[in-house]
Amino acid sequence: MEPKHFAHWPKHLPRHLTVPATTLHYNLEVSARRFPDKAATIFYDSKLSYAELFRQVDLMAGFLQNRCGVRKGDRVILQMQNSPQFIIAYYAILRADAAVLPVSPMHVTDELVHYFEDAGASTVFVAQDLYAQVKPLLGKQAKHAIVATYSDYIKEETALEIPDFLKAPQKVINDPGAVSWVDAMAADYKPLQAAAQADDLAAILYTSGTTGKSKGCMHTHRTIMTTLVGGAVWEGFTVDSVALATAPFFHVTGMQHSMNASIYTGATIAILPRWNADVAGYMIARYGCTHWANVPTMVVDLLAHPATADRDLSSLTNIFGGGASMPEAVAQKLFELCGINYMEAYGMTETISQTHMNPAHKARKQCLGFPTFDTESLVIDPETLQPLGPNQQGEIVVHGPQVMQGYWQRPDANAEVFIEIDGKRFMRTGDLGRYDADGYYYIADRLKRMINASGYKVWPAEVEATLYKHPDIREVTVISAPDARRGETVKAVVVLKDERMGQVSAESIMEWSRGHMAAYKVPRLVQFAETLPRSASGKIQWRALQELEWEGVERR
Amino acid sequence: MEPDHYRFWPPGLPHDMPMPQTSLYANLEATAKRFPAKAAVIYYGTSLTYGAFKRDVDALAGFLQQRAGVKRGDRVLLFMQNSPQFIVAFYAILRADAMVVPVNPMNLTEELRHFVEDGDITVAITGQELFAQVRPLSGTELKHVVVAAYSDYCSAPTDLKIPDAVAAPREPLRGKGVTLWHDALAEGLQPAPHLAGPDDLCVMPYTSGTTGKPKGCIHTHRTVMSTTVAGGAWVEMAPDHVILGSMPMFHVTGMQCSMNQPIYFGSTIVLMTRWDRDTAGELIQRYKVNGWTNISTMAIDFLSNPNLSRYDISSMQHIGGGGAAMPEAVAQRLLDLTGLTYIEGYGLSETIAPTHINPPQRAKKQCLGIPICSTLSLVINPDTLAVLGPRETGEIVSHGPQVFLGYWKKPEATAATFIDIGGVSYFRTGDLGYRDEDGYFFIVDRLKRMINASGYKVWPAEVEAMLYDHEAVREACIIGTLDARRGETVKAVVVLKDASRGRVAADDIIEWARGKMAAYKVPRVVEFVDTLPKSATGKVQWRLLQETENRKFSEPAANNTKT
Repeated sequence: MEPKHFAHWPKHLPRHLTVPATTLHYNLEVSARRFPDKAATIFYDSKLSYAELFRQVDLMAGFLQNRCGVRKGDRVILQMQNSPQFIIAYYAILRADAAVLPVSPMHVTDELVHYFEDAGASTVFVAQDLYAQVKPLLGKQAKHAIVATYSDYIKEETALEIPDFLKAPQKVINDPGAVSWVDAMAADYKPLQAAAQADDLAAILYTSGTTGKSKGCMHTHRTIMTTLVGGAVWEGFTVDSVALATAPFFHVTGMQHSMNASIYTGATIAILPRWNADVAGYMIARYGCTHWANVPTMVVDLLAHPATADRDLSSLTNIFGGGASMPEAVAQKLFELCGINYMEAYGMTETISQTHMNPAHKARKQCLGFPTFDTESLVIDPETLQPLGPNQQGEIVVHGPQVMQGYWQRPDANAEVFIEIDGKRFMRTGDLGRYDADGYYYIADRLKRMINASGYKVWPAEVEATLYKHPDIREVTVISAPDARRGETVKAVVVLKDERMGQVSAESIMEWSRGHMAAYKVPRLVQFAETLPRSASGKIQWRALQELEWEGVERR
Repeated sequence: MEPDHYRFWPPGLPHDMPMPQTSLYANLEATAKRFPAKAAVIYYGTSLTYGAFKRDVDALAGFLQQRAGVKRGDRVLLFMQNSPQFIVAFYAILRADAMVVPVNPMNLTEELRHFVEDGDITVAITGQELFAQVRPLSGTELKHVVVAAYSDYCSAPTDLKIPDAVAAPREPLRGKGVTLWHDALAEGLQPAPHLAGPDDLCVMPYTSGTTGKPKGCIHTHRTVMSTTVAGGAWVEMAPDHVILGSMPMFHVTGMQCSMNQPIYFGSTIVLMTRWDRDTAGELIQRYKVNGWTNISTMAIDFLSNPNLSRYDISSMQHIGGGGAAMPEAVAQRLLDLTGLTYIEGYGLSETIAPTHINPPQRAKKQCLGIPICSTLSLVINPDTLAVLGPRETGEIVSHGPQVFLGYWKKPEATAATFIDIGGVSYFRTGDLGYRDEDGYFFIVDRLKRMINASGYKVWPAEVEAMLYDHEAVREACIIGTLDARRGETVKAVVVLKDASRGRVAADDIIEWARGKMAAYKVPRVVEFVDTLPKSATGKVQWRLLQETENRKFSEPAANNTKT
């Protein structure tokens, strides 16, 4: 029997998509051959053609192989804001048959150590402004650092407001093991013949979890290809599309729907590394952006910006996002301005973006959509693991060609996350939800402990583990708290050591946190308590505290 | 100012579309690398994967270069019915950096001779059922002939009705310079590195005209690429779509919509050698066909099938075509049955298929559509050449990336077909029409002398020239007449030589013509008269005869839409 949601499938789209059997780099190769003179990227009014992108990728791949000793299957860390260099580095790593390990530019040295050590990486691409975080690891975990200066790729005069860290000229770096981006290119190495195949490891994407330290999701060229092609087809990318890239490339939404889908179709990527509603509006109007993957808060900002009223946003044909729900009033205003519905979707790092998508012609609000190409989804009872029926709440599980191979060197975590149903390997999402009679899915609550702050996923166990390093903290639990702008935000409930009670301010805890974790993880609220509620077995009852926090507030 | 039709532009499609700067073969290369295990062609139940397809293309290209001496820019005759081999041969010729000269499989030896001589062709690829027509040229003009048996690519047992030409086993044909397809591939020769780029010669479809002998329309990879990419995008072709290939591929509509577009997008072609409405219904159901570009007469035949309800055709997402207008009642039946609007389009061999297509979301009936991506179109007064406004009838002229470079070795005809308007070179279609206030184009009549019989274009001047070879014929004029099934058909108005009067029957003329020309050109009706009306300068006034013929019927010919 056909799944219910097939009745709502976009009429012009096939039900099945064959995943290209090539590497991701082949996508760039085809687009560069087809559209050599077309702009691959636009970065503050400066353009980089496909032919040039392809050429620079080759040079950088040659450098990785010849000077950094990168071999097939090696992991290379990539820590940068959205920029032409991010794309060059990403495809150069793949061209060198290695796997990309993209990390948030917000990560600090302590966090980076984990990635180097866990993944056994020794080479890193890093932006100049983040280099200070990498430098302490040089000569230890990091053998080679290639340091990029964003301003190298801003060549045209522009009236746009550019943040200082992007404008900064190249600084001289003389540390052993470090090389500047331009010097790496100037070395003029050619890469070896490409050897990677579709089922080789292409990326390890770290995600935290309920257990503290983040785990690497292993994705092959094939799993990544699945959602980038599926996204391009579902969102109607053409050779003439222009994607506004505001979602970070290190994260699956921006990586797939702004960067990789564009490279595949030969579209142009209008890059915006630091969110700025004014510049975003300018780019849409100036370059006729057609596609925009984002988090709903960006749409909220753009529509609220005074300059937007005078700008033509009518080129937009698809606005896509997930990670947080879209407020209904904003969705309505968006429809009035651009004539399109916000396309909500659902996916995870483990599934390299979407498993569920809304169809453009029948998009529903506050809804995950339905399973996309070749994907099956069920709702199960999280205890008994039995599949449930329509409108019964349980845990969402997914099966499809985009599901990761597993967590890097974590058989324990793999054993927990995969279950077999009717002979098929399903992945447990940890999200509570239901599907309706039409086969559309809705999220109810998270089974797992995770805070979604404007789309940034914060894992309380990880933040707690770091906070326990604070000399004055005896006990701590991290919970979600309502926030007008971020949807939800991070709150720490702290029990101080006896001798420090009354002598430590909330502000000082936050200040300390800023030095020890990425900014989005830092608690925005700190509440001091004398004790934390515990279960009979002694476990901290975080859920009770969180429910108290959310009492009377409707969760989006 | 924006053109009127931009208001009705298909959502999500660019007005101008950047075109791949590669040869057409590069499309196959990318698709085969991406989808090696996917069926490129399903031929009466037998699948040819993209991987195997490319392997055969390369092997045949190797043969063409190493054994048949094909060089970059050479013309190779492709004389075959729809078959996997047609598609393999088409891409093999391109892979060998040569130009495909596809000709109608209904052509007879004398007609082939013209193509071979005009195109300086020494190599031909043909089907074994057509070899009898090629044989007289083989070993003389044609140094190498590769002969294919369609059954080589139709090996899986099937319950489908298979045309005789497809079922026929491979014949051990022999001759000087004759190689069986199977043997050519078995040599496993590899071609030299691919050199052809966007501006190399790609394909030369022949079109006749008012002057008699067919003329070759020169197309480069760039012009062919444009309707491949933009035409496919217009009808929302996607990878994993399944396309019914029932239109002959030697003709630009079938070539682009049923072959080159699906290969670019990575779709599957469900291929038919012969039109059969029940087989088409069965194939749509069995392979869940999504897209079908056809000619209206084919769609009419399909929809009038009393057995139609036996087939599940709910997978269809796009049905459209060109060649002749779609009658309103039939379009309505399609809509009632499938919820689909028949999407009409318009193009010529000179424009390698569409210059105009209806926007799928706002199609008009009996309408050519709007100019597609990067294409401009105007209506001009054919005499003064002044540009006309909405609802003023004149000659349709078009400018766009799909317009051919000119007629092969015909500089005068080429010069006459282009006109400069405001610094832009437009191609004169020879079709009379108008556009409405929305910027949609409609055809009214043909300026040029041409009969459209089920989409087959018959050029009266060419048929007349042949009829004059008949020993009993003194004078002949060819006109169109109404035909219930073909829309229009061929009629000969003949003046016999005095000695033959009363001794030659209409059937004698028709029978004789069958041996001399492709079946679709053969007059279906022959009328004997004493004299033909002539102008003061002595020219036969065919238009007068045509108008007399038209008045015999209550309506004008079915494919001439009234304003």
